[in-house]
Amino acid sequence: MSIRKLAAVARREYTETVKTKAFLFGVLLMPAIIVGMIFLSARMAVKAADSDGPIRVAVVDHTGRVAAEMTRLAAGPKDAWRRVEVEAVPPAADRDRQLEDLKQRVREGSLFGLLEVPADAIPGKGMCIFLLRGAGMSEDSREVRQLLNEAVKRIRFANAGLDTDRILALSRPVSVDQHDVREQQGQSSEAMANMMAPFAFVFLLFMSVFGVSQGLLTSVIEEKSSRVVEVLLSALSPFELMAGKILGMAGVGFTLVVLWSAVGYVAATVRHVQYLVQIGHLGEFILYYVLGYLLISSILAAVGSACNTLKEAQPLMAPLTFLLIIPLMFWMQVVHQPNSTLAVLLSFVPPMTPFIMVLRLTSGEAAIPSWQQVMVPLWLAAWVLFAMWAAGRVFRVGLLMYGKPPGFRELARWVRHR
Amino acid sequence: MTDGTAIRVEQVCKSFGSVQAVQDLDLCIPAGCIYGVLGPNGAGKTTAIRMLMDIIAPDRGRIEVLGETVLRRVKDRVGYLPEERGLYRKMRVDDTLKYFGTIKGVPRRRLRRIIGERLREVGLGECTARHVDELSKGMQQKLQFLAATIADPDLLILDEPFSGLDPINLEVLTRRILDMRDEGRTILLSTHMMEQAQRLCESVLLIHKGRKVLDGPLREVLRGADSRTIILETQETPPDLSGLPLVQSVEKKNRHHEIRLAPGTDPQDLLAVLVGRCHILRFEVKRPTLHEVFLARAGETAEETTATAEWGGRT
Repeated sequence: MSIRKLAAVARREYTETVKTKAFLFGVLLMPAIIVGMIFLSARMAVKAADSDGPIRVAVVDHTGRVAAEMTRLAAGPKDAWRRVEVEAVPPAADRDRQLEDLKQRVREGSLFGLLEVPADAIPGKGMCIFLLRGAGMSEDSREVRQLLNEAVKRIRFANAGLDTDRILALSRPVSVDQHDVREQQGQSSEAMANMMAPFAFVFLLFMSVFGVSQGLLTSVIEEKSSRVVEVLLSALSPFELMAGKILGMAGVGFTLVVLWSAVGYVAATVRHVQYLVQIGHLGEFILYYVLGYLLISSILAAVGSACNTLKEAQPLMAPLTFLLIIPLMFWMQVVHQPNSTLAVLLSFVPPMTPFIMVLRLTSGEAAIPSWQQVMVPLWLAAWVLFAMWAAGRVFRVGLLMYGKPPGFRELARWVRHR
Repeated sequence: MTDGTAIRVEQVCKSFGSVQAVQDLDLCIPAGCIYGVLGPNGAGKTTAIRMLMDIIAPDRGRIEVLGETVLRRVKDRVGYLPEERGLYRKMRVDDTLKYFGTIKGVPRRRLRRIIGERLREVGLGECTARHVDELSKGMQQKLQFLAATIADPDLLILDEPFSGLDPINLEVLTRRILDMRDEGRTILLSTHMMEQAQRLCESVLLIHKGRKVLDGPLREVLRGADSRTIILETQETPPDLSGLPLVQSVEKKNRHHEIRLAPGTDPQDLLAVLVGRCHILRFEVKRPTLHEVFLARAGETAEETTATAEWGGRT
């Protein structure tokens, strides 16, 4: 085997692939997904505020007291409501017309929300109406509701002749400092966000491993259908060709992952969720990436060598695609219970192994038993060697086969053949 | 290159399933000549060549190329233009040659020097930076030829190098092949274009149905074939000859008749019959062409009809 030839094949594979539109698409599309996911998980991680600007609320006050109390509290010493700006609106004769005008301002965005306080709100009989744009559970809307609550409570205390400040001081909440034991820096628990991280990792792995391997498949089929392959075989052994191509595409995958990770890290930093990127598992991530890539790319190289068109390759790829989708289907279960029977079992089914293991590693729910940490990579490595050997066999026969694509039985015969 | 032999093949067999592609092939190709491997489609030419190139392994038999029996050791010294050939369509012309040169073991510095030179020699000097799919078919074929010869191989194997070439490019390629022969390289030319073979080759091998029909220097092959076709041109309509026992058939051509003699007949006997019976303008013993030699020999294996049909379609 000549290293120089192998390197030449790899170099060509790399440079010609990164020039393609598919690569450019991959480079751009995936970061868009990553950024989207990070922003989504940041949103799910219920943050302190949706925005930093003032929250302007129009209060149509039929009691004549609530709006004033709210204004007083918002301007008061307590930090929580600093951002709320109360615009007291005396009720007009034409209620519908007035509400419609205000609603229009909410729609335009000059008002965050519109609060209508009925005359019997203080005894707690009437229902307040709160109108705002979009979903109602944001942090900003909670602040407005709290402020309203606080104002009404204070009016009630005063009406009853009680010392409001004294009651509030006595009923102040107990402070609780809640931590997630999994986090080093001691951030507060953000369960949803932490669920997303393993998924993001496995998605990244899946996209790069499977995407790049499919690129390899396409490239092998192209060499066959454009009949370059026989010229190549006059200079290279089939194994040099296959290994060179796998290596070149590995470089493509590496480029993609580096670019994607950079984008992901920057996005995470911007959204202050960089703790989602767990550097601690980087070594294992790389290990499973490399093994997973070698396994899947060998299989697809063999499939490509046996087919003349992508269409012919579909039925041969179907079982593999199916196996690879399983980890994406079970990710929730695996992340929740990384040592369940299901998770352990799936870890030992070769094409799934890298994906399941990355899910289990990043889940953080429980540590993976050390025997598995040793056995699973060895088991996978054994399969990689077998796959490369078998793929080499198929590759050698398949490259010069034109006509009807073989079935699985035929492929098995090629592997056994001499 | 021991004892001046470029290729030695002994008792080589190869079958695919139940199909015997090559049977008991013996071959000895001297170094420094142009050797033609001739036969119709499906004769086993490509299979034989692929075995020489170590692309497929023979079931049985011994192959020696440039003095080596471990063929992968000589891969870099053998240039190969397969029948099923192609190029990377999206690659640049110079990158293509650089790539094929590199995988053939040509040092990078040398490649940088010779690529432009080679392209200019075949009239592709302007195309260096163009992409392959912007070239015409003939240009692509010349590029393929350059790729096969970029490593200056001691042995060059060309499988159907002329198919689809226009007369001008055919001439360019023929010239290059002759030049390489003059440089002392051995050229194995597989073709079913008999005229080209007859023009270029010093020795030929005729192969049919996986078996050798005959081989040897071209002159001997042609001399060995009996000449039974007479071209007769007369001033007036010639007498009816078809009834004569020494005549097998008479065919009227545009301005002459072609008379096929019965086996074993001396053309002089026919001439003797004709003299005095008509005014002879031309009486010629037609020199057999490779085409006819092949048809005659392949016909002996009772496959004449298929062979004729295939030749007829492609030559």
